[in-house]
Amino acid sequence: MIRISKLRELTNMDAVPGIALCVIEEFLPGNWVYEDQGVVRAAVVGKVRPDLRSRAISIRPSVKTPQLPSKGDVVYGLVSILYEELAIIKLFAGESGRRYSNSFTGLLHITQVQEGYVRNFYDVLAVGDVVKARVLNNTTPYSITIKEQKLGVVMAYCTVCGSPMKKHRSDTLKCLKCGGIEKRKLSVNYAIIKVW
Amino acid sequence: MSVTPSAEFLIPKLKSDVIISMLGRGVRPNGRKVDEVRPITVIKNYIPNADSSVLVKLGNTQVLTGIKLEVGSPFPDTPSEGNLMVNAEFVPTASPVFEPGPPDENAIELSRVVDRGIREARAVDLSKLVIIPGKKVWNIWVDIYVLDHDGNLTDASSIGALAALMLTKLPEVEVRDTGEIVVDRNNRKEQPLLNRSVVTVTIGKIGNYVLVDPDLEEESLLDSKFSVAVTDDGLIAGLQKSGMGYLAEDELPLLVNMALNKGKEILSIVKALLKDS
Amino acid sequence: MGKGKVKLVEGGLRHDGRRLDELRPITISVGVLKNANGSALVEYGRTKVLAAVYGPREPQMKHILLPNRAVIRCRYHMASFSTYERKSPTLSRREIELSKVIREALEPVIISELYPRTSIDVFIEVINADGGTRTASVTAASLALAEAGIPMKGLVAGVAVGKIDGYLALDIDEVEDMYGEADMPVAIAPSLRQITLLQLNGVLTPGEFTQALELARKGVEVIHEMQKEALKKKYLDVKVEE
Repeated sequence: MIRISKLRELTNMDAVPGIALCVIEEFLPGNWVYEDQGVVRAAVVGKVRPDLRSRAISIRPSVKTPQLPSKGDVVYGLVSILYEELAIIKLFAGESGRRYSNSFTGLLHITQVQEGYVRNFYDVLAVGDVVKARVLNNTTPYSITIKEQKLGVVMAYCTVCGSPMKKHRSDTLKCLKCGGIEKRKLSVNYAIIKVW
Repeated sequence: MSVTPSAEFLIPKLKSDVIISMLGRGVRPNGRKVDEVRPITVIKNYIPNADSSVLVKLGNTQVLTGIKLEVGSPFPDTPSEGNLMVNAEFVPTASPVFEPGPPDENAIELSRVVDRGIREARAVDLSKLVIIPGKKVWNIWVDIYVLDHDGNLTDASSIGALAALMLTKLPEVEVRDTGEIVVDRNNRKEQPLLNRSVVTVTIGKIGNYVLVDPDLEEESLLDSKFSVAVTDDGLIAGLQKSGMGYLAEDELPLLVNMALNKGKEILSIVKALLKDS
Repeated sequence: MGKGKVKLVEGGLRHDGRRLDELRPITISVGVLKNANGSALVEYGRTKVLAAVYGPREPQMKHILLPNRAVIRCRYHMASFSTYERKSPTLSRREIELSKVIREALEPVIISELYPRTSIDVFIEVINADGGTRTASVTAASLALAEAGIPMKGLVAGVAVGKIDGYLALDIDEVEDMYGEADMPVAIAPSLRQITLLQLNGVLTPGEFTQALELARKGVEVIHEMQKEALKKKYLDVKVEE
């Protein structure tokens, strides 16, 4: 059992990596802490947050912790290479539009484009397109999907003249300059994109 | 071999329309006026082991310049002149895209642009660097370290080189009968090394718009950049066009005039900064 | 080693007026660079070291990646104007060894298993060298990692102990290193009581070694307190929450 005085001392305490917080009998290790020989210690700079309900102790980081995509996240990516059954996509920002400090590789398999059969990638994507995608795993290279309605291409440039394209029908885009029409797996949010 | 850069081109494309329309109204994304230079700060003698040094901040860009003076031999074709060498290192602390290794084409271009400005303006009189004519001269090493990259490394480096040279004074030397040279770094000549100030001013071009002292975000959008080395008596001591775009014939006078005005402004700021503190 | 050429200890004081167990004035600043995920500038007297951390990120060379943890890439580099005589900017054999020694001083404390198949890059630039650069580098790198939010088992701090004119002295500078009999750089994670860097250049008796290590531990504890202070000042005192 944890004593009230100890709880009070821990709550909101300043933490830097390495400082001992409590023993494992008092609290289990939560986020941004680790356990070593029965002692729970801080792993980052931040404020200590003990939680009586879950009996876990965590740190709320005061520094910017690493930004990496994780399973279930919606991310923005740039189509870099298309193979027959695989597209390589550079993931550069999270759903909020905030850019990662470094971009990560995403892999899109042709079966993850939409329900039903897709003959080849050239009917659904082009190099240089910006896509909104969902991440399916936790390590790089990330597997991604664009099956959902809100996922898919959000910004595209004409493969002939390089100008921005406008939504034409639910699965086609029209070039503003040369009038060319191209097929894509579009997001319902086409052209609505905020990245910073 | 120099290759078209393929790095990040995406964000600019998404942003460029917004920024171009802002420039049309005479404002920049960072709130500066088109001809406004970011605040300059100079910390003198930052490196005790260097003969002179400055840490220059141009906005968030940080450049450290150190000068080392060494006794060496003159080049055979210039026996009565000392040597001035400018070297720039883009160290990987400065940017996620800088990799460890020997200077790349950008670092080499930068050091050569700064070098040319100083050399051609005769900012340093190389004939005053002779110790024993034909045998021993001073070698001046100007080493430029880019510590944090927020755009316009050329001007920040040029300010650094200028400020460091302004602070440089040659040590007293004694030439013994044996030909041995004894350097006394604790006693230095009164006369400063620099006899003319020169600084580069870089102007960026986006479409038909021009802006002075582009920051990193703006640089990623630029079609071309134009650096002008300006002396304190209003002469042009060097020019360099870089970037993938062009400069139109009829806009050149405007760009050069802009650079001359800004150069004068920057030179007086740097002189004032070195005077106090 | 030139013995007796320079008098290093006189009347219990060193050539710069310090006592044998006294550190040089130390200053620490965290978050000095805009681009890096974490950065720190550490000064031990006239020694000045800048450290920057990038990552976890995907490096260009993917073949170095490991499936179960992040790889740590570390480069220790001296600026050409940092030494008394100009140093060539290319990496020397000494810098290559120190890059490895410093990386291995950080490896035990970085919780690298959390970021498999990525790299964490630590770049160290020695801006002015006056002895103790590798230990100042470890101190700076560990702060830069903390600022980058990379989970760590503890902070690491380093200091060198030397033997000069037969006495053990804490935090030796370049002159003492050059004319002294021994130089022993040490880095410790004090909260874990783990030694992560230990080298010796010179000769010590076993008794002297024990004493030297104790002296280093005391020095490191002082520096560790300063590291914690610097982080708290920058990241924990700024605003009163709730």
